Amino acid sequence: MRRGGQDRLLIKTRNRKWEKVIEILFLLSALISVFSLTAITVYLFAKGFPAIWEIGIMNFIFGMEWNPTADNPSYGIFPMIYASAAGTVGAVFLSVPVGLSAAVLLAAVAPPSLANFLRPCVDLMSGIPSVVYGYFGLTVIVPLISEYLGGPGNSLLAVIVLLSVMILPTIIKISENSLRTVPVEIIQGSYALGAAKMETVLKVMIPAAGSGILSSIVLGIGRAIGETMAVILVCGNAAQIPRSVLDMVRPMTANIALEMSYADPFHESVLFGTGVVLFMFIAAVNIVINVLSGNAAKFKDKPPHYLL
Amino acid sequence: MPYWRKCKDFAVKIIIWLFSLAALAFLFWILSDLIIKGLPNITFDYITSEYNEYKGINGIAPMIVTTLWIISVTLIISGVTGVFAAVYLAEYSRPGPIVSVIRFALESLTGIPSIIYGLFGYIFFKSILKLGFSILSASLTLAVMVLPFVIRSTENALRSVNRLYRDGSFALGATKLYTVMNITLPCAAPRIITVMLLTVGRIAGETAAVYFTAGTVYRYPEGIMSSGRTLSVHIYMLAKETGNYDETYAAALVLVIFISLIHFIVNTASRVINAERI
Amino acid sequence: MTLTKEYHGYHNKIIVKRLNTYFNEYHALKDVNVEIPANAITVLIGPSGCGKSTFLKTLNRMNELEPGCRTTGIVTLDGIDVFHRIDAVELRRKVGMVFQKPNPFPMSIYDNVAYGPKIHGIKKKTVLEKIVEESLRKAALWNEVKDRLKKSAESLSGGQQQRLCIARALAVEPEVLLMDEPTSSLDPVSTEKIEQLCILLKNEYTIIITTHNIQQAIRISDKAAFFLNGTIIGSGSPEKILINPKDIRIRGFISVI
Repeated sequence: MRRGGQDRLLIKTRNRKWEKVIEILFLLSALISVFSLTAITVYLFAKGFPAIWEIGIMNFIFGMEWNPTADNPSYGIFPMIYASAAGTVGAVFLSVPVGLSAAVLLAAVAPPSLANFLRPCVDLMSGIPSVVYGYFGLTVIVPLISEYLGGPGNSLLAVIVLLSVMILPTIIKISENSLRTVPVEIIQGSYALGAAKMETVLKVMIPAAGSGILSSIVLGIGRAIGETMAVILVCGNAAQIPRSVLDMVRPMTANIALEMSYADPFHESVLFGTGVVLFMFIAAVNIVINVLSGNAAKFKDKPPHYLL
Repeated sequence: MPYWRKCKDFAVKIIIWLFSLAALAFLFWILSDLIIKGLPNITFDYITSEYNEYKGINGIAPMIVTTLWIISVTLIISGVTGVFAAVYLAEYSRPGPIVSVIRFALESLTGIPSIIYGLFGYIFFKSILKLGFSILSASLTLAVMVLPFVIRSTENALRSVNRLYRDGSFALGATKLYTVMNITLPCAAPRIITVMLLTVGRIAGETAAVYFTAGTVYRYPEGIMSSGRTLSVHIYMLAKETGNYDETYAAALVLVIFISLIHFIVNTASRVINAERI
Repeated sequence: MTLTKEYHGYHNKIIVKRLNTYFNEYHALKDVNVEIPANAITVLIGPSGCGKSTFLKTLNRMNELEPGCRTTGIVTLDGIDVFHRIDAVELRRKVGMVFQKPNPFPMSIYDNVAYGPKIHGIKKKTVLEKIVEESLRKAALWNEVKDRLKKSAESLSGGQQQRLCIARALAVEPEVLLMDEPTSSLDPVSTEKIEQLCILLKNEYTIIITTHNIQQAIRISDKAAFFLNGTIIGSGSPEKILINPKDIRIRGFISVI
């Protein structure tokens, strides 16, 4: 700044080369996410797809036999796809009523002091590492199942129980948030018409928060399909189509993690191929979430805040 | 209100409380189980000694060291790039194709499970970049994995800084960079620190991605190029390969205590931060 | 062509011609034409949401920071086109701004005032101290805060905070001071102090104030301009615009207040 130089012309641009250089550095950092996504997709497919192609897409996805170390190896992963899907569906069935109840409790029913105590509990629940959940399942839940329901204990049921607990925090947190964003006017309108508290919750708040609750469930599905370390310890690892929930299963994630350490190159590619199929499932989940949040965003097309 | 409607209302309330209590009970069941079976086995020796199956030593010191190494390196990589990226998104970006692509990538990365990151790290960092099973491979993999979380949370922290401060700075003739460095980042610093703490928790708890990239060797790491076994991988290996309940439970409890501590600090800190804002 | 004109004996500091501002599709300012006399207080008056703030933010190019903003037309400062011939950052040093809500930075009183000079490269402590004292004196705040310069600026009262913001703006030696409803969030005593301050400051600076308080406008203005729906529907002496307006729309607004 020049003191007293006020009569000079203003036409002056200070050298701001660094300003631009650093802006580009920031942009490059933001683009790392794009590079990463591209690299993950490309390398996963490059490594996994040739094996799938050699086995045959149909034989791979719908093949019932998984025996990669035999003299005449077979690489069918349908039992694993089935196990992943069954485990996920079961977990969602168990988790949604519980998670939604807890979300309603936190958002509308519990007194604030209790809610303030419970919210960190939900955080802690999501913070417990999956391997710890898995070990708890292995040493506590598996023996309980074996004792009271029979069978080996390592089973689809154990997987479902663990997964349902693990996706609970996702469902609770996101549902609670969307329940909280329901406008007060709508809720008070319902009371004004003489509705009771729970009637308001069930008939006004939950429908109004619908898309948020739905995306919490879809996110939970994504988490359940991808979960590895917890299911690997309790699933029993038998690559078969289970006849009942007490039978042993092997989800896709467990398949990858179990055999990677001793796989020969082609076997390794097949495991990456399993990863490709898993990736497709996750991509489908992502697309659903995008559609859901896109629908939600349509309602937010308000003029910018500085015009209001 | 008619009697039956009151009954229905009451019944719904009961169901909500019961389900919520069931979830809470499950959490306390896990925690109490860990404490009862784990706490008696956590001794000074256990935490400070090495692990060697043949010599009969079963401490977890090398695993703790490896975990701390991976946490530090990951935090440096993801912290720097994450904050830079968040500054770009919160302060510089204008709506357009570039930002849409970045947001799409971030959303997609959020949904990818850790085992896929593990596979990616295994092939890209370990094999193609020839970093081998190492702390660096694992940290790079984990950094990519936590990046979406770091970026989104930091961006939120930056956006929560009062607009008036930034307007005031711009009105004095400050450039964007000057405003970011002197107003926005300092104001958002407490929130960004809690983001980093939560990231530490995620890194410490991660197993699948580390298992594929850092290896399972249970010795002290010598630097970022040596392989190692984190505490979470150690729990998995013990659970899978030995039947020793006591030491596994002790390791699990150590990990859970570490993560609970982080959550406790974050909760307290966020309460203070939020109180200040009001 | 001379861009400067004489108005009531004043030299015109800023001349605005056919100014249009858009936020995406929204047409915020429509064909604004006005001259701002130097060393005088120009009051922009009108109902809220009529574009007064947007107009102010166009003068120091703060609007450009909002996404989707587009501006056409000419604004000159001392005859120089501010959109094309002055760097935005440099312009904002010449054209200071005080906001509706006092917005001291969350740092000490001293650092608040020193923030601006530091941006422009002044590092010497003695110089900074001198600027801080000078600016605080000009803003009539020095006597109240000289013993607690290192205290947080948020510990000051609302009126003191607003004067601190004025001091902060003065510290970079602007020529023009834009004040966006500077007293709308203050009590009557603080408001009067700010008004006194403005009258004192106009000897050195060109001041533009927006307000929707007619009495305040009458008390301090040398020139008034009336904004409605994003355009100026009348400008001139306070007498012509505020006391005996011809335009029926202005009359309606004044009689309501």
